[in-house]
Amino acid sequence: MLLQSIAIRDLAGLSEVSIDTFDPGLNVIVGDNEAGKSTILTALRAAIFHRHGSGSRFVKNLAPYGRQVRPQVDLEFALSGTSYRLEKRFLQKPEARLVWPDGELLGDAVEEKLASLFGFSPYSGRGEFDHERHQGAFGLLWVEQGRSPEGIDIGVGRDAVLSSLEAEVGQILGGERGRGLLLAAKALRERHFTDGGQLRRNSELRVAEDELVELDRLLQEKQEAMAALDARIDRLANRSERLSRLRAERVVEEAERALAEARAAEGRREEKRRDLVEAEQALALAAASVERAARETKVHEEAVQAVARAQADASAAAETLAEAQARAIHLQAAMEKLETRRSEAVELVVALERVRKANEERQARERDRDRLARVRKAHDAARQAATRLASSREAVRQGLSEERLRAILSADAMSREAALRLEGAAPSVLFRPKADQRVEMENREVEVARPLRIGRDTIFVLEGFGEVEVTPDAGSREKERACEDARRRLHALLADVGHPDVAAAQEAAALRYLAEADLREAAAELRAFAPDGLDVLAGERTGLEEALEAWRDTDKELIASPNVSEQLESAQAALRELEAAVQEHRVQLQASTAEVARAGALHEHAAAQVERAVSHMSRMETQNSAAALRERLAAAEVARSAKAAVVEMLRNTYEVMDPEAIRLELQRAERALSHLRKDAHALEDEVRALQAELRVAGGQGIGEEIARAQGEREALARRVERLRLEAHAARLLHETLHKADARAREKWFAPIRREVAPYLRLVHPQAEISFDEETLKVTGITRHGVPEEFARLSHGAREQIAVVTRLALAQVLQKGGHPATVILDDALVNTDETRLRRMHLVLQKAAESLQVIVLTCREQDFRGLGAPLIRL
Amino acid sequence: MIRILHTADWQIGKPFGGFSGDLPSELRAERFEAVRRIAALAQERRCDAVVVAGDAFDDNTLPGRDLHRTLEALAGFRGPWVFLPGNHDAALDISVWSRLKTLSEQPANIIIADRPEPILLCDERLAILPAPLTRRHEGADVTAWFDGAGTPSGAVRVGLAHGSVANRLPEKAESANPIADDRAERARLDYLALGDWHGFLPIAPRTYYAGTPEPDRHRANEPGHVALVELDGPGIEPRVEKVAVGRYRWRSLRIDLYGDASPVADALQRIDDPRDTLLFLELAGALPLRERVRLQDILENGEARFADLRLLERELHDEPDQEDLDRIDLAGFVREAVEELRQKAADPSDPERDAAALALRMAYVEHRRLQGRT
Repeated sequence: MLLQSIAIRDLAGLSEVSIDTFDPGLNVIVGDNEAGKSTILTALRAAIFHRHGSGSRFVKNLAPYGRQVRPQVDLEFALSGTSYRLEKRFLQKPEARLVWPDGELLGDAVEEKLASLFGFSPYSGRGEFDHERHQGAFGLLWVEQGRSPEGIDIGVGRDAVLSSLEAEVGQILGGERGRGLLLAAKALRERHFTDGGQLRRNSELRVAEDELVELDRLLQEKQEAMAALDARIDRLANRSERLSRLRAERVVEEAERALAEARAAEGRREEKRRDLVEAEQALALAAASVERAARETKVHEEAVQAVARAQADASAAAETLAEAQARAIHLQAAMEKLETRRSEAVELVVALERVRKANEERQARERDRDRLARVRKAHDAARQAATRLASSREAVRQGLSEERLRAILSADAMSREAALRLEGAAPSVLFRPKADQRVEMENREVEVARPLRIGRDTIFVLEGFGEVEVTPDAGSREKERACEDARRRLHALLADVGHPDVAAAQEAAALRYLAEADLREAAAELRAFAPDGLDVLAGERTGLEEALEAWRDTDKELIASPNVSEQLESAQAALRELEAAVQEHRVQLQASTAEVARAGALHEHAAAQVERAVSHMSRMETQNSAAALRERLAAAEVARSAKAAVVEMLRNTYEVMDPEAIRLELQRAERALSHLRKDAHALEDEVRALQAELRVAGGQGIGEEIARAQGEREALARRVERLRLEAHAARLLHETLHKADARAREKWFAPIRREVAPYLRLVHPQAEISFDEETLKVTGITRHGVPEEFARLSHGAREQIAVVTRLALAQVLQKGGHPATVILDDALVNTDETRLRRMHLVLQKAAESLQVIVLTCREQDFRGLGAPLIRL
Repeated sequence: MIRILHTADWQIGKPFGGFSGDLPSELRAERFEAVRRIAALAQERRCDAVVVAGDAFDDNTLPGRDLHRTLEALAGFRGPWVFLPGNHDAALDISVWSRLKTLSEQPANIIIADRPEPILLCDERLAILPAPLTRRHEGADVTAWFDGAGTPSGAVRVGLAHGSVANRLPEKAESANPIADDRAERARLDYLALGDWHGFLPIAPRTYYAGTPEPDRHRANEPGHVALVELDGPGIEPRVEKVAVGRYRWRSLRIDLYGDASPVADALQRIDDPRDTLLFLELAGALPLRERVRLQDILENGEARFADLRLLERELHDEPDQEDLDRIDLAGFVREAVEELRQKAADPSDPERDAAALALRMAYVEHRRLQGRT
């Protein structure tokens, strides 16, 4: 693109600016701060990229300060050899017009045409205006004030750059399909692997591999079970075979036969042993015979000695007996004397006791008689007191109590007082009849001699006259009634106690008082005579009377002796002494009697011994004489020697048989048979048990399960193999494509580097720029083989590199047929003077093939550039 | 004349775990059906006996219900069934046979030949000499006793054994359980009925493998038959008739491809009854990417039609050609990447060769997809 002229009116800070001499090469627009340099860039953007009818913030900001006029931009430019004129009006009455030699467009068609000419996506006005998105490559090439050190993010401009590059380097990239294939390969790979290259957990391959492991485990389990089953079957076969061999070789029967033989040998041994035992017994018998004969001889001799001994013992016993008997007789005599004396003493004591007892009896009866007299007296007195007490109590009961008397006296006093009051107040009537004419009142004749007090309405019947009704006054009538009431009360009280008048009542009260005193006296008397009651006293009296009545003096003849007690005491003492003596003698006598008995018994025994010894002696003598006995002893000794010889012979025979060996053989045979039988039984049991067990286990199809699992395993292994190959292939495809893509990208940068190199050499000799493969961002530079990160470079270096990269990209774009005018708005403010001079060379060089517009406030910086200076 | 039906290797209970879906249970069930067909055939042809030369059952731990199911299938033939324990169902102390013997409903016409002693049938006109295996693997020839075995003079002598006839079978056959190849001669057998080899195979004079009646593996050795044997008398050469009884066909097919996937489509088209066919397809050669992708479609289509379609394509290589590259409109870095992958895929010494080939195919498919989209 070549910008030819621009005319701006009423836009933001500018009222009117027009530049119509843009050079196809380098242009420098100089203006002080606030002169509107940046507004020129804004106007360019507005004209090309913003819809004239837009109400976006950007467009609103185009309005001039403080004036209601519409901003206008007119632009002339050449593109691909065609000259265009663009006129745009914003805000009020927005308009757009594009004119070129072959045509003209108005309104929105202008915007469409511009978008296609400049290769950008028209900005709809929604959202933020994005330089990179909505300006296409110009986002890259038009650098606003202060943005240059930010680096280059190619963004959407990338497409333009890439298509430009492709035009140059050919279809290295494989175009859109290549990208699609890469994505498809990535998707294929992702079916199996994670981004980190690990097999996905839920991938078909992983699942199949897991299944395979599980199947192997299952298979192994089954095979182990099968091996166990086989082992059991082998064991059964082994046991069955052993059992049948045991049976075929008749091992048990053989052992039984051996046992029978051993038992027969044992029988023979036992027979010999019995013979020996018998002979030994015979020898023992013979020895016993010898012993018996010797003993008999000895017994005979002992019997002779025993007779002599017994006879000596017997005479000694006879002597002892005689002595004891003499002593006993003496003691007996003394005892008898003592007994007589004791009987006499007893009689005396008894007699004296009777006397003493009779005396005591008599004294007791005397005391009873005295007592009876006293009791009789008291009883009579008490009876009289009781009688009096009863009569007094009756008198008291019949007498008038003091309270009642007081009530009667009080009523009497009140009656009399009422009568007195009536007497004083009531009218009195005095009849003086003639003759003996009568006056009657209430059918009673009225005594007429004295005046009659009238207390109530009274009708008098006057004989010969008729009736006279006297009506006393109210007071009199009242008094009359009170008087009557008092009298009635008195009479009621008197009637109650049964006395006709007050005097009688008073007498009755006096009588009662006296009776009460009597009562107390009688009670005291009764208590004195009969403290326990009359009945007790009467009982005692009757008891005494009866006792005395019953008593008869039976020992009247026994004269009471005054000192009978003393006599009795001395008699008793004498008796006690005698009894002690008797007792002592009795003990002596008993001892003596026992001695006599013992001596007698000893004597008897000795006599019996003598008799027995003698009889024994004589019996023996009749049976065997001493000589015969001696002969027998000799014969017995000969017989014993003979038997001993026999025993010796038999024992030798027995020992020769080796009985221990026979016993051991029998033991062995028994044990062997027992073990064999046990073994055979154990085998039979095991065989039966195994058969039962395996009959069940054998029919569970485990062999088939293994075969099936093996088949399944093979199929699964094939599948795993196939999936592994697929996974491998998918990864390989993706990796190969990816690597090829990366290599291709590396190639894209070659033209950019080629374009950049001459500029870069001017400012940073021996430096090389590196780009990010994906985003085409400048990542840094490499100087002398040392990579340096872009962000860590100085502001100056960054803006210089950004500018040279843009110039290079602009050239790439231009060669690709894209419109490319570079606008730098104060883009080199951080550059030192030396570098700035080098940058001038850069700009000059770029201007050989590009239109470059520099906006600056520093005229002196660009004065020597050799370009037209346009001052605002 | 004595007529016997000789069969073997039923492998009842074989689980076919390598297959997926309903197929394993269908294959498993079909083995019972095969037994049913054998019983019907024996009944129809009025056989005097059916001899089963081992491996009637796939494993000694066969579940009880399968044992019962087998007995039900046997019911179609009322003559004697003579079962020989083989290596899969060896007459161990506890085996399918010991369990069969304890079953209360064991039919009277089942004879378990688990002892090496003659079995006389048909009024002593038929003497069967069995060589049961009492272990899975016998080192010695258990048929040796046939030589000295006495049988009634008018009886035909039929040996029954399970194992490998020495020196006659391919090397890869099991070497255990050897059987002398002149046993029939030496033991004066009129017929030696063998089991273990799953194909129908006359292997020595008067000596036959009946093979499995229902095929169970991909090996082209004529499985799916039984032998109907007619014996006129001692010393007279028997007449042996091969009768097909199998249902599923296990086919193996190798196709070499040179740039074109069509032969696969044609071959698949030519196979009858694909529903009953388990196909093992081995592909070799080289295909450009577009054909390789087409092959994928053909195979996917085939998989739906066949009972099973198993593929071995280790020797089939991708060979992207100019047309492929033209089709995917290669440019820029993609072309570079594709070229790198091509080199890898073409280099037999490259450890990533297979992955690179597949990556190329993926790139092709994805690129075509993108093209279709744009």
